[in-house]
Parts: sequence; C-alpha cells; structure tokens
Amino acid sequence: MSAPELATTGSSEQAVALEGFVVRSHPTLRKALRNRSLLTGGAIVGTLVLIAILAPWIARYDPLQQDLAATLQLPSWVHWLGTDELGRDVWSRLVWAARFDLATGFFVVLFPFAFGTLIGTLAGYYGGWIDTVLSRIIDVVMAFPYYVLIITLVFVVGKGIRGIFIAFALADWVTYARTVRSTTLVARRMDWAAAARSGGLSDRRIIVHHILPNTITQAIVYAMSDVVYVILAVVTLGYLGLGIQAPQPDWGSMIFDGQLFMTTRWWLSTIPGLCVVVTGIGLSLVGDGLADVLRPE
Amino acid sequence: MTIPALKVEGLTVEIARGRESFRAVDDVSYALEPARSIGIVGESGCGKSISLRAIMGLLPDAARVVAGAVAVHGTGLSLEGKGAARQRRGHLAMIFQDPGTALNPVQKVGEQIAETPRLVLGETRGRARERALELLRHVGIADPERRYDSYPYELSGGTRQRVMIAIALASQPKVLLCDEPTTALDVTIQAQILRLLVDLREEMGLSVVFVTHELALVGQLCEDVCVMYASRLVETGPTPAVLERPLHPYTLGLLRSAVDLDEELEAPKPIPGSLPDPARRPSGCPFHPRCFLATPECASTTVTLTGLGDGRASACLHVERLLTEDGRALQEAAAKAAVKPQDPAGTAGGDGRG
Repeated sequence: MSAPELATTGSSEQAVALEGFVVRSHPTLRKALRNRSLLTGGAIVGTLVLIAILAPWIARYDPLQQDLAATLQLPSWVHWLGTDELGRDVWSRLVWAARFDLATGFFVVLFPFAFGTLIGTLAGYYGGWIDTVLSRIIDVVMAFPYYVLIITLVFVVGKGIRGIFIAFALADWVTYARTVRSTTLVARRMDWAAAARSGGLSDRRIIVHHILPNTITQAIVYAMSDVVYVILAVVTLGYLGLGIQAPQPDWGSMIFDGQLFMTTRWWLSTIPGLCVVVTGIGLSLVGDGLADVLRPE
Repeated sequence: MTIPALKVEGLTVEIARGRESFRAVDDVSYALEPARSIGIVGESGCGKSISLRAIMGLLPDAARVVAGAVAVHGTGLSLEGKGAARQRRGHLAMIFQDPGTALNPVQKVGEQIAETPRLVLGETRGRARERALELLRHVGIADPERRYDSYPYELSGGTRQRVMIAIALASQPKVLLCDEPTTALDVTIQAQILRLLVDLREEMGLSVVFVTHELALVGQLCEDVCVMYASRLVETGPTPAVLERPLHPYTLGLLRSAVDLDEELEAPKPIPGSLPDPARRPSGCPFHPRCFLATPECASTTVTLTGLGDGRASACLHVERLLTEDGRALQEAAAKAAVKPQDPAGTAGGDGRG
C-alpha cells in the first residue's frame, strides 16, 4: 500500500464531501443546479462570455485589417464567414464585437442598477417626504418615452460609448428604483421588519441585512433583461449612427453595414442579428432562472 | 401599591381611510401587574391587534396615536415617530400572529436571534451565537446547533413560532405582547406553544399581554381579562369572575357563542348581527343593535367603563339587571321573543306545502 495513493483517495473524498456540504448547506445553490432555464441560459451566456474573453485567440485576423483586394468574399476556409465590403474578416469582427457589446451591456447596466436600487430602497423604506420627492423625480423621467430619451441624451452628450454610458445612467435607473421601491414597501411592512426594529436594530442594519436581501432579487432579475435592452439600444443607436463609431466592431454597425448587400451577402447582417437574438435568449433564461432560484419561499 | 409592569392609559388610535378617519382604538386603559398575564378578547377587527401595535410603536402608516400613554415598570415610552419601536428594546417584545411572515425568509434563523445580542447588546459574535443556541434550547427546539443554520422555510409552523419567541426573548423584554400567537397553528401545536409561554412566564418572571378571540384560552392563561368591542373596552376584571358571571351582554354573547365541550352538548349561540364598521359606529353604546338588553336609551346615552368593585368594570347601561338577574335566562328569553314574530309566517309556509 503506497502512501501517495492513500493521500489521493483521501483528498478526493474530502473534495466530494466538501462539494456535498456546500450544495447541501446552500439551498439556493441546490435549486440553481436543478433549474433548467438557469442552466440553459447560463450555458449560452457562458459560451458567449468565453468567446468574448478569448477573442484575441479565437479571431483569426485583426478585425480592423482591411483588404480592398478581397472584399465581399464568400465563406471559405480562409475566411469562415467571408469578408465585408472593406475586405475585413467577418468572423473576427463578430468575435471582437461580442467582446465589446457584452462588456458594454454589463458595464452600462451597473450604474443604473446600483443607483436605482439605492434610491428605490430609500424611498420605500423611509416613505414620507423622501418618498414623495424621489417618486416625483422617477415619474418625470418615466414620462419620457424610453428610446426618445436615450437618443436625445446621446445626441446631446455626444455619440459613442461615453454618450451611451451617460444616457443610460440618467435614464435607466428609474426602472430599478420603481421596482425596488415597491418591493421595499411590502418588505418593510412585514412582521420580521417590525420585529427587527423592536429588537433595537438600526435602520442601516435593517435595510442592508433584512430588506435588501429580499428586494434586490427583483433588481438582479431585471438587470439581466436590461443587459439585453442595452445591447439592443446600442445596436439601434449604431443603426442611427449615434452608437459605436467605426471602425470599432459592433453587432449593430455590422447589421447596418451589411444591409446594403442583403440580396447577395445576406449573412453579413443576419449573423450579427442572430448573435443579438441568442444573447437575448440566454440572458432572459438566466433572468427567469434567477427569479425562480432567488425567490424567497 | 406596586408599579404595574405595563400601564396603558387612554390609548386612542386613529386610522385614516381615504378622506375620513376613524378610531380603531378608543380610550383603552389597563394595567398589568408584574409576572401576571392579561387577556384582551374580542372579535376580529375590534381593534385589539392595532392596540398592541400602537403600544409597540409599530403602527402602519395610515394609523396614528392621537392620545394616550404607555409605561413599562414606570418608564414612559413614546408612541410617535420612527424611532419609537427601537425604544422598546429591553422593555417590550411582540410575538406575531403569523409565524410565516414574522421571520425573514432569506436569513438563517439563528442569525435572526443572535442579531440583537450582537449588535444592540454588544456581545461578541461567539457569545451572541451561544446566546442564540441557549434561547433555541430554552424555547424547546431539539438540536439547536443544526436549527441555527436553518432557513425559515425549512421549519414547521410550530418551530417557527418557537423561533419567533426566541427572537422576542433575545431582546430581554420585561413584557411580552402576544398577538394571537396560536391562531395560525394546529390545535396540538397550539397547546405546546401555550404551555411554552406559560413556562417562560414563570421561569423568567415575564408579564404577558395575550390578545386572542378565544375566551377559553384567556381562561387558562390569564389572571385578568379585558373584553373589547368596536374599539373600546366593554368589560374588565379578574378572569374567573368574568367567565363565571359576565357583566356585559357582549361578554355573555362571546361566552355563549363558543362551543363548550364540558357542558351537555348544546349548539353555540352566535351573537346576532356583525361588528359595526368602525367608521360608522352606532350612536350611544356601540353594541346596542346586537344586544338583547337594549332599550331606546342605549342608542342615545354614551356609556363608559364603570367600576363595580372587586376589580371589575363594565360599560353597560343595564348592568344592574345582569347583577341581579340571570344573564343566560335573559338572553334565552330575548332570543325567543325575537324569533316569535317570524313564527307565524314560517308555519303558514309549512301549511301551504303540507
């Protein structure tokens, strides 16, 4: 009986036991591993994120490299998805666009998510004049049609990624604020919140450890679909010429550029379009799954 | 004279509903002696739960205290403002009706118990945990080490109620306010929880206010009883005396509407009519439309709780009759009289078909 063998067995048993412990002691994790839409969505989004991260190795050419002698080529072993009107490799552009669009989606959503949740929590928890003031501000922002507001803001602030960040920061937080405010209103009236207060806990403690864990779920779930909205908005803005500026590869501008060749090179627009659709489906599934998993019982 | 554990004086709560407002609790006063229990009994909607929440400083937004004072062992507690509830720590703790909504669904129950010791009483993390385990054991939970890490949904209703009691005790209260603590539970579990509350009262010298709609429970648990009807107290006194000889027609009605298994099998006699909308309370004595003793004066005279000696009080204009005559017989007679006028019609209908 050799010692190393024993050691290996021991550690793998430990690993299994540890895994079993983690899964058993976290009912949320256990539910997550059983949730089909979360797993499917997670697989889709995970693959996309992986592609985005590995873009420099997966893309076979520089996405900006033009070759005016080889424009609009058909798919081949050299160019898997052919080339566009400037002779750039479509596959490489698609992969780099995934990296850019996904990153944009996630980062643009971060500020509205955090700020909206904060405002909604304060309004819902404290009520009174704080709620009145914050709710009126939310109403004013909500009164504008979403896209009109975004487009106007981008137009005013300046096109490109900076404009998109600022426009969403100003316009998008209200949805989070409204959702979180209403769930906070419900949560703070629950008897457990009353019990926490009469136990002498501070408002801060009650908000952070009691209210937020119950209310933030909704915001997280919405954030998933919001990433899709942001990507769509970026695509739409790109289509209007207000979005990502050339030559940065981005699914929106690829769709826009490809439409001229729709009859002969349909895939130039269709494939980036499909990428948007698949991302949307993946994130929506993740959102649905998270809603199931995180919902308190 | 001893200082009462809990003294409630002239408590009046108004609830705004749309543009109007009504009194959900109207001039309620009582005193609870240390290490004793008082029961507050009444139909759903009579204002008994709201009165407890007012005492705890946990009124909903639409409600506010317009008059009254609350003192625990002589210390006055403020009834207004957001911080009011926090001031209760160390004086009062409340046990809520529904253990399903009284525990935070996303926090481990042990942590919910340990929170007050750790953050308010300044215990270390380890000491707070010890304290929580001790409390879990104290409220009769087997295997507290394992239960500490449970989430509320993993527990049964009875266990949740025990956890809630542990949370209440963690804040070291002198007076425990129980808002129908067993209504949401199975009968067998009810008995266990009541037993636990009685034991705790004895062991820890707690004083208990017990709100319920079951007079029988009050009979088992409480030395004193307050009967509440339409936001007001209508009768108060030592429980055995009140149950033996009620001095308000409403108390009598409550007693008679309960099924009594000790007596020979007799159908319960519900009180006719229903609790009035608190915003449209009848004039005079609010109970007069449903009362078997009612006379025209009852609709015009304002009645107040009047002392009758032996610690008893009643808010009835005709309390003399209940003192001198047999209330049950009076009620029977009134019930018969009320049925009679309808009788001929009933008989005629029967004849027609026959």
